[in-house]
Amino acid sequence: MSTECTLDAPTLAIERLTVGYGNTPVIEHLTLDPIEAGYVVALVGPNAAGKSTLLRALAGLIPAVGRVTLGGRDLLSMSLPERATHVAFMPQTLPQGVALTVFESVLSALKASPLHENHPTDSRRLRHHAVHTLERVGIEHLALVPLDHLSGGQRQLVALAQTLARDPVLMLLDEPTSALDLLHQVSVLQLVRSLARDGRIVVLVLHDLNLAARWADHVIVLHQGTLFTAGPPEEAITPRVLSRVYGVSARVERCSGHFLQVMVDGPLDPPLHPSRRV
Amino acid sequence: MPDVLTAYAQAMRRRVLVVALLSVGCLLTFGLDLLIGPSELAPRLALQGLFEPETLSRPQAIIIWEVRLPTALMALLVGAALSLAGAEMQTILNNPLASPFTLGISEAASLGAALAIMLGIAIPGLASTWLVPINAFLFAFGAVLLLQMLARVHDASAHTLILFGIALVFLFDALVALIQFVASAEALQQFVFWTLGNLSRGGWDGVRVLSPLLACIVPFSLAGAWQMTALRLGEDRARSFGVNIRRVRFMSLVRVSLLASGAVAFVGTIAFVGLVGPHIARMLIGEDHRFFLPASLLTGALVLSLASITSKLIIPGVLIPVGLVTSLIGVPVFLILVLRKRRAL
Repeated sequence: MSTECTLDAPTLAIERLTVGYGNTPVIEHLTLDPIEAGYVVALVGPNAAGKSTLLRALAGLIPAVGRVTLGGRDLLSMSLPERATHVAFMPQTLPQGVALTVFESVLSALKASPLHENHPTDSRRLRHHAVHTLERVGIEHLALVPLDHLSGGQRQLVALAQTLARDPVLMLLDEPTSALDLLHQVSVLQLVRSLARDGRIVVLVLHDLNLAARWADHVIVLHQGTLFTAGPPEEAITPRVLSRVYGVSARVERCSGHFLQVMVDGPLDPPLHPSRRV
Repeated sequence: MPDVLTAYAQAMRRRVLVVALLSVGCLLTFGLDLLIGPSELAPRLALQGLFEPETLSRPQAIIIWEVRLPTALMALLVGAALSLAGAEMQTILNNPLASPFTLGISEAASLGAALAIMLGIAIPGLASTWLVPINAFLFAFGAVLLLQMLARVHDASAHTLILFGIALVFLFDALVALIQFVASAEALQQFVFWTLGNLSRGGWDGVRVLSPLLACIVPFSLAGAWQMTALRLGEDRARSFGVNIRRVRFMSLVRVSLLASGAVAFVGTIAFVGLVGPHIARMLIGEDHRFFLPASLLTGALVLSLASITSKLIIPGVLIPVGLVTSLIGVPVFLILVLRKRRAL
């Protein structure tokens, strides 16, 4: 598996980013501390906090205003094909009713637009690369299975393989473990961490705060489209944050394995946001 | 790893074989189409006449060379054009029910033909035999451009295209009905016959136009095969792979409109081939568009060629318009195909 990156020691910097649908901004003037290569960053927050919107804006799927640079290069003004050589986005779902095999879907990720120059170009080596990608995600045994015959968790692994195939330096994963069983959650997050350690930036949306605390180097808590707090898990995930952002009364304790554990006791009483019922 | 690549290579070989078999099937039905007809002409004689024209009498030679041969070729060409257009349409609209005519192309062509046949309105300076097909073509092609403009004002998504397309269908239908309302009975009859879809109408002119058209468009279709395959994985996915979906969709719609309006202009509306061809191809070969597009083209040619043969056999001595046959015979056959458990790739 090649681990080369398109940019040397890239840094993701987000300044005064505003993203919205139509005239209603979902994210307004968001500025984050620069994110260095090698780290796993978890985006957490309640529903409608703007997590997926932020990922989609970084991926170029929705228009955004502000300044986003990756390795010093302006991401927002890049064309889609150019951006696709540096950035990959993994959506939450794969469409149903598609008569393609797993292997073909990964190949199409590689063939859909030009890859960056470090990539092999001839078809035989691209096919080898596709197989390596499947092996890395641990689904080479599914290579020739049609997508429609896969379980939800298997589809999620395939989506990860499609995202990984193009060797992006910035990986944006929207809830990559939501359909996975315990073992696969761990193996995917382990893989995500090793991908970051190879010199990539991985930004992922996670709903499970225990997974975020266990696997992320840096946690960004979004609330109503703005940054609520950010930092290492033990600083970002605290009872105060949980009560203010999620409206729950919760404890955060170290378990015997020394990992942070979030235990929710119940809704805040009295509720912090009486009008907000999700 | 060698296992995966070996199995993949095997699957590729299987697909090449399927495409080759479809081509052979087309050749066979084409041959059969030449030998069968309402006129009293023994198949053996017809076969002989193809290779040694001088053995035929003058009327026999006309039957073979001026009627059966162009009609049989048109069956292949129109089937291929409509089915390829249908395959592209189903992919860019992400809708298995789409066909070349989903977005009002056939209705626009009908409007063009109606204006030419019933009101005699057309582009000045055209030979009268070309008047109806060219008018039909221009209206069909214009409809797609109009659709593109409308959709671009909004977000140019698949949903917007379908919505505007359906609106255009109703608009053109209403305009055609209006023209029918004021037309003479004679012109009305001529127009209704035009809408029925008839392969023999195009003749050699149709062959001369459609074959270069198809030959020019197919390479462009195939060049975009990987992008189309990526599009099947969802819009977000395809865009994050660097596919400019708006552009892919626009270029594909231009191809679809050229193919569909070319076909409609010469033979009228032939329903169903553009819907069923891609479905059969998908069942046989999957949706890797490098194979799916050529296979759709061939299944369409095969289906319409078979329909052409059937149209001569249902009532001996009578040639039923092929558009009716594709629907009457095609629908039950298609339902059987779909209801059978879908085969894996």
